[in-house]
Amino acid sequence: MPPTELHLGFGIYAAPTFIVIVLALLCASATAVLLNRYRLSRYFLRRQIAFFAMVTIFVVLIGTFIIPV
Amino acid sequence: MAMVIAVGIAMSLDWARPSWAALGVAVCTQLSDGESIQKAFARIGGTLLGAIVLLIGMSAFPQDRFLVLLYAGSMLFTFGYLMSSVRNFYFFYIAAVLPVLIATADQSDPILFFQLVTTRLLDTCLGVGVYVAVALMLFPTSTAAKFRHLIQDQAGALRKLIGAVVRGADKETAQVLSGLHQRQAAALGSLDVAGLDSLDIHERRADWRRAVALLGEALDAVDWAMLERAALPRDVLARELPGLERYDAEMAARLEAIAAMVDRQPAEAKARDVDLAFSSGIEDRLEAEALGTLLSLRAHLLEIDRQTRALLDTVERIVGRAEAARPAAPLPAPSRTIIPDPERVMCAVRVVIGFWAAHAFYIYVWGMPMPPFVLLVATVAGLQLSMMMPFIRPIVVMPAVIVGMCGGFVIHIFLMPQLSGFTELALFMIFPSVFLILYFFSGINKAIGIALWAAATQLNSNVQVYSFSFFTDGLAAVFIAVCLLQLVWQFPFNFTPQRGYERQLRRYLQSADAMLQRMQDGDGHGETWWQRQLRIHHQKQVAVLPQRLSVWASQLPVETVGPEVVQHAKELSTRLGVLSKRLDELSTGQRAGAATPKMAGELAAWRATLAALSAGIEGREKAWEEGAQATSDHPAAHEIRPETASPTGDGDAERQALSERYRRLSASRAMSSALAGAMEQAREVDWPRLREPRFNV
Repeated sequence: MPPTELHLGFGIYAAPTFIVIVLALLCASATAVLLNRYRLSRYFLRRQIAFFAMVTIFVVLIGTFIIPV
Repeated sequence: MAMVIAVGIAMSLDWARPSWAALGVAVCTQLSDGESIQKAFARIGGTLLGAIVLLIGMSAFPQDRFLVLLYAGSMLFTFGYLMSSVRNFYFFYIAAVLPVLIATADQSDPILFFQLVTTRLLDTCLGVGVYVAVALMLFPTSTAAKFRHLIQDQAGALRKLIGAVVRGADKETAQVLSGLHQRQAAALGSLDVAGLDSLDIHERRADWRRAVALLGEALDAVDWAMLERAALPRDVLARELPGLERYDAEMAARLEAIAAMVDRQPAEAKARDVDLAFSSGIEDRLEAEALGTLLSLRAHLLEIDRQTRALLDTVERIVGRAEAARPAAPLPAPSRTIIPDPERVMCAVRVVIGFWAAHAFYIYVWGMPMPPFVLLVATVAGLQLSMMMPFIRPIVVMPAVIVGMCGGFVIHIFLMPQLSGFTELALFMIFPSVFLILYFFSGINKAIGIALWAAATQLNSNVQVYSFSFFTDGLAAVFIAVCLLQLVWQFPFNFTPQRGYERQLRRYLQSADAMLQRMQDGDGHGETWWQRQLRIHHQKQVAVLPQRLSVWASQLPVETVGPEVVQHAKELSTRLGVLSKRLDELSTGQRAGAATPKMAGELAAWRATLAALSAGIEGREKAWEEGAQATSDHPAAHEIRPETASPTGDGDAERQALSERYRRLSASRAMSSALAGAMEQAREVDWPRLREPRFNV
């Protein structure tokens, strides 16, 4: 697959990976807020690692279905 | 406007880095009106101190970066620690930031440091000077009037609180009490500021300082009186102290006269003697404990009488009725200890670790965007966040960062090329964007927004360079710095509100226990120098921590721990405040209610209760019952119970001693009930829920 770039307007191009990672970070943060809100965070043993795992999952999901990387 | 003028002058004189002048203005915008001159002096003084520190470091260790890091870290630690003192924080803040700023501004040639320091000083003086000129000439506000209002407000509050002691507390009392002590703490700072911009305050500042101190003493005494008042049945006071109504009227007249004179209005100022004699046969009608409480209350009311009389004298001297003035008695010197405040030390260590972490990135991570910028942001934002608001999650400043940088960038790329000349630049760019940032952000976000806007617009010289990569790299650099700060928020010390609250609560309990242990071991005679330092340290901790706990409790995340836990945690800090006062009363040798070794049984019981409280917080359920048992079962204080003899009437030495024993008994009762109250409140807090692990997002 050839390397691609997203056109953000005004002649600015960005790597899709960058956009995907930013979106994944936002989604993982929102998920963590919800887990805190409903007291589900206590079921995670290592929350920092769990957070990275969530980011990875979101990167894969967004990178596969929304913005193909 | 100040921004427009400062940048304009710097550009027209063709100075290097006009953005530093803009920054001078940006930082001043954090201030309320009238503090500008003080901040200007602090900024210039801090710049000088920082420059000296930098030049010493650079000349002492020119070739060894690790020695420089160690030196810079120790300076950052020292200045950061000193920054937490309210009155000089800005001076030390600038002194801490400047070496990092200069050292990162031009790494290519250390010989340029001296020139850079000079430029920085010039730009700073310009920015701050212009801000002060604009503030004073176009929007003048009299800080003298503000200071006078503050003193009047405090005198008014004192009057209402005395009324509350005499007639009983009502809804209005709580309103008066809220923020009273913060205002009192702010009064000295306000006096410093007013002394700078108004001659009449400056000329009499020693007297004003004394007036503020006397007001503080009187407020402290009224605090005590309210505590004792709450322990007495409602009707007892009016019945047993018949002169109380006249006392209230006299205090009201005195405080009104003080408020009027502070406001420079003519006032009838003549302090009359007050009579607070007990009604006859009081010892037959009251229990020993109630009698002791009443004696304490009377002593505090007489203390208020003394302080307000001295305050009236001082204010008379200030307004120029010098002939009426009596020589002023010296005020007691505050006790000091060399043991630093542990929480402040932890905050300062956090700043240094953040600085070193950013430096490690600088040295070891290749290809990192704008490493000097990362270092600078990590230091500046680290200092502000760690020392002033350690409980704030650093990542929350990102919206201000993004708005400041993206806004600045859009303006820089799309608007600036269309503008010709400084008039258009000022009219269409600097003024509206700074106005909008100031309008939409507050507190630390305001300064961050403007500072990053100034960085993103790259007002570094008259020759503008348009660079997209500067913007993206800058944004990435700030993001990296904020992520680093987020890490040091939890490591090596955890500053999440729930952990901070619990840590400081534990420290409070330890200090309270240490104070009780000290009382058990005997009074302060023959203590070594180190024991004295430790004693003062624990006393200070016990006095300071309840207020801090209240602040940290208000920062607990309501959405995850629930509103009840936050409410109970706040109430616990209030109860601990009462406990602190009681501990202070028992531990201070000069006070009549001070503990003696005869109270060994009680002291042991209180320590057992504190231990149970500690264990209960740790999660041992049985501890709550044990604590309640210890509070209720402790010896009946028979060792200090006075014989049935009258402590009232004319005071010869024997009666005085008897009166002290009554008061000691009442103080011991009050301590037990304060401890029981704290215990009860601590039990209400859902500690497992507070401690529950959660994502720190």
